[in-house]
Amino acid sequence: MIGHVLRLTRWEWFKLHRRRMPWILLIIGVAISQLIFWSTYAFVQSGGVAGQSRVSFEATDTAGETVEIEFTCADFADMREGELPLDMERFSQEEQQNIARNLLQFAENCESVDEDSNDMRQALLPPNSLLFALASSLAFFGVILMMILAASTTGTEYGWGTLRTVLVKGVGRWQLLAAKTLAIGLASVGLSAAVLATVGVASVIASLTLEGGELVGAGEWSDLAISFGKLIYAYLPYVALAVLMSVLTSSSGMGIAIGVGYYVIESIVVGILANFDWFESFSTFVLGRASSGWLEIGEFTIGGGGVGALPDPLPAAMVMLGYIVILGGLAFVLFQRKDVAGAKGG
Amino acid sequence: MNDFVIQTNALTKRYGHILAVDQLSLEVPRGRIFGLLGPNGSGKTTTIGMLLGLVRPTSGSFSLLGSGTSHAEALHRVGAIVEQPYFYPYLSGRRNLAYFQGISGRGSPKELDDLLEQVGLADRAGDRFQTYSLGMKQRLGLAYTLLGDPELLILDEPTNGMDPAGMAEVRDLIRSLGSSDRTVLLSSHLLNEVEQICDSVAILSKGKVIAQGAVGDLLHPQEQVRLRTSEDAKAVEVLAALDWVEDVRIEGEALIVTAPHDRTSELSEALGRAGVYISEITPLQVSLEQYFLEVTGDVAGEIQ
Repeated sequence: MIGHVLRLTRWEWFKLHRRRMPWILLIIGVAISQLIFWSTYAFVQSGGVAGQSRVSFEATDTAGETVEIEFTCADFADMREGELPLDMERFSQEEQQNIARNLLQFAENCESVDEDSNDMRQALLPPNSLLFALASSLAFFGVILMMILAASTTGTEYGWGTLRTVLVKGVGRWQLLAAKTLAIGLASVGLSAAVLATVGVASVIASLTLEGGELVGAGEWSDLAISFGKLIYAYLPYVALAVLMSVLTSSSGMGIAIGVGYYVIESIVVGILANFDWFESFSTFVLGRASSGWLEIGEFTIGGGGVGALPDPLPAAMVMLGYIVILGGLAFVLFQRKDVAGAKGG
Repeated sequence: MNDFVIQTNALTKRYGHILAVDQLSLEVPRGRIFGLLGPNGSGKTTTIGMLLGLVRPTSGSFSLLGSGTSHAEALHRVGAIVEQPYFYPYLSGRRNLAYFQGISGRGSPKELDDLLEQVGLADRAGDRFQTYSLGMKQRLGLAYTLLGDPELLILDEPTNGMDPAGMAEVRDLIRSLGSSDRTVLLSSHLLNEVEQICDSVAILSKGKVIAQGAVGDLLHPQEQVRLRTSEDAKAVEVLAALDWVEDVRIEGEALIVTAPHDRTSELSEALGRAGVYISEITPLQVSLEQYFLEVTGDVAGEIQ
């Protein structure tokens, strides 16, 4: 039986990789991740966080003229070396104290700005660049791409009428859906890995132009491997949702619309409901929040996960498993029992 | 070995308040070309869908290729196309066949070449299915049904959308396929198609079998002779007295006698003995279409 499912999976792959759709999704995924990566690069190269962080205030000199004083963190670094780019003698004693007070306050900010700037720079070097891409591109947009992939792979069989042609060969319904799910899983891994690989190449190119010149930054490769595994698991409930909707409506278009619609609407609804105390008690069971809690990637979230404290990874994983079992189980039961008509053209 | 490859027992399919197939009992004998004839909406495709596991019966039962095998195993020995040949539009004809051969786990690349040659698609096998004409799609569908050399072929409207030359070619092919031990179940709303190809036929109307048997047997009781005589009234009297004459009626200036064609000379002899002379005698072959009109009544108009 397992051999039969694996054989069907091989032939699902035969069809899937010859379609345009997964390649288009790959191009979209690569484009999004590259856009985010190179935007970050441009931000860092243009002075980054430090360059943008500045203080501006007015002071009156001894001649009674108003002077506009502006400092950036970079100026402040010079100031720490004793080269204050400002002639303090032109101000009264009292005004000098005011200026010093403002600059001291600014100095505290610049310390954290330095840390942020370094973090941004590290996000351009592997393995952090890959973790950053995983969190910023794949966790959020990847879910949408995988739902499109899953709904399209399942729903087009109804739209083209080919489900009839396949089932008439006596392959078995649940075996066919299992093979499709495995093929979608393989494609998800392949798509995500390919996106990360292109970000890796971009990282190497970027590292050659960054100050310091190192190819590999701080961060653990094992964290990347774990996060990648967690990401694939995070896809599963959404894939199950998209497959269920495609089977239910016998349409890839409806499967995509309902799956992606849920994803977007959930984030909006969570944002609204987060204002109510009673929502806190069951927010763990909302798919987007559970997925974000499970992934635990910095401040990045899936769907509507980013409001308030996220659930711990273990309970989040259990909630996700519940979604996978219920949505996936319903999809299998429906696929097994539903009458199969001819082509529906969609 | 069971003499019937398909047996249905009170097979019923209901969609809400619509009864698509009503208590259908059908027996398809092994090694024959069996026609399933009926107008659109008579339940042919739904019946085939149930036999192939695409549609769940509301009630009743059926066996496919004998009761000793599971339905999935039986399907491995069946080649079927339902309504239209649906294939993957972005794959070539050859790759489509390779896929279906692959999932069934039987066959070789040579089988694909042979089948593509057999249906006349060898030259276009590398082209995408979406570029095929309807006739080419039907041919690919036939090649698909022949994958794995199945015992039973189920063909639902196989000449649908073809030009007359293509139809004749496909009909020849179906006849040749049914000439071996293979059984062919051909569903059609085209009377002449069934008449030309099939040995046996079941006529469906409103989800029910209204007649079933050999095509010849169904036509036999309808054999008629048209006579022109010197004295029609007396001829009617004489012929009505013969116990093997089923019916005699006057139609215009001729008599229509329902009687076996092989006893036409006896008609002539009986009338001659009574002093009635025949000026014209013409055997009438009642077509399946006329027969269908008689047995189905108002729905027959949908048959072409």
